[in-house]
Amino acid sequence: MALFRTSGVEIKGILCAVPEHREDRTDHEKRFDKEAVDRVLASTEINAIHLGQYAGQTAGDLGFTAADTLLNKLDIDRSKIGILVFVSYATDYRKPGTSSVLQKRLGLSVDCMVTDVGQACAGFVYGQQIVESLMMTSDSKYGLLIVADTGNRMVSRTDHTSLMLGDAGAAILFGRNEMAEHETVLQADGFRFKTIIVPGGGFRDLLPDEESVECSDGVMRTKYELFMDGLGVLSFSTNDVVDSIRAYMTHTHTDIEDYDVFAFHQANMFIIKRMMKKLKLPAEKVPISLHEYGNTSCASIPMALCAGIDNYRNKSEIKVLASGFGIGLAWGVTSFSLNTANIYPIIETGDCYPEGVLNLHEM
Amino acid sequence: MSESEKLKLLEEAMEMDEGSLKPELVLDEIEEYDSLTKLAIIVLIEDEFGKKLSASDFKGFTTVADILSVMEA
Repeated sequence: MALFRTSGVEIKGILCAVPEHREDRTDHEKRFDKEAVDRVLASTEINAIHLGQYAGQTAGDLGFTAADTLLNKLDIDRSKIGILVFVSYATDYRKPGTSSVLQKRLGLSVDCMVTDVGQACAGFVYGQQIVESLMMTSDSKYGLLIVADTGNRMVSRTDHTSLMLGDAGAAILFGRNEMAEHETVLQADGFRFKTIIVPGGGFRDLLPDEESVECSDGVMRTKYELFMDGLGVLSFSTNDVVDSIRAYMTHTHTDIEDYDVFAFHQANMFIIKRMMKKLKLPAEKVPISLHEYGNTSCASIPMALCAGIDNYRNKSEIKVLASGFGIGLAWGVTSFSLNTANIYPIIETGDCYPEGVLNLHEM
Repeated sequence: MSESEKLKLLEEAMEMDEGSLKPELVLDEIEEYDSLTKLAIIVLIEDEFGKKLSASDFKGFTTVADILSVMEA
């Protein structure tokens, strides 16, 4: 078990931002038969998704809005943020990292290390461990984790997956608390790297032609578009991931009663219901954001926490078990205490950064 | 479990009318047999028979009878 123990660091605030532009079955029925839309929505229970592409919003934009809003709400001295980690594959540029752009936009000091981390659905659990590890080996007062994605942007328009992926960005601020401690397990299986993949556009196959080909699942797609092995993902989520949650609870000598909230990556309701059934989890402990926002990749766990917060406000502090899983394949489990006053409602934004589109003549 | 009981379970999973499935039917010719149905079949076989099917198992299925043959504990 790849086990990580952190102490002295805790989450001081979580805030998520989604694009204002919303699509639901009315929009989906313009591309697919009503019957197909009914079936997909009945199975996934994803009734709406929010997409940033129509307002020129990137994952970095959503992450910026979430972070800027959070830091203002908490009245944080930004010069005391010594760590910024931006988790996404949907970066603004090939290079530099989007974390560099966010450093400028958020007004962070040069005494702040910034880096991008390439992860998707496991990105919150991986990301929180990375930031906490950096906090523990430094004396930075704050660490900022921003997890964001615009997964729908690289999905074939004829793929049902385009009804499921929603855009979102989440900011999680870490600070000091002597009494805080928790454990995280991170796992990965690169043997299954092709399970969820965009085959072209990377340096392995930089400029493949844009021919649409019928794939094994019957969907026409180009190499620039996401391929997802649905059966492989189901098997992974409901076996490996469920096993990892059970192993985590065994290792930490905890069981379901010790947690107030189980925050899962919001893949779809078919998978989450299956996980709940296998783990025997009561519905009131499993917050859901996917009904209104879909599968929001690495932002899913923060989105679920923020979407479900009204159910937990009666407690000042909740004990959360979080499980993220997806592209890589990568997965992880962590648990932590969270002050419910530090979990903010999801905000919708039309903000973007048009000056990020550069004009070579001006460079 | 009898063949007719297995067919009934499969019909429920595939959201098809009772009596519509026959062992000799070719899966790819059944309109309802799509990616969502395969997920439902995986869940059925795991819950009822304790078996975990993989994508490669599905590649080996041509007819309804092939699925019936794995519906054993």
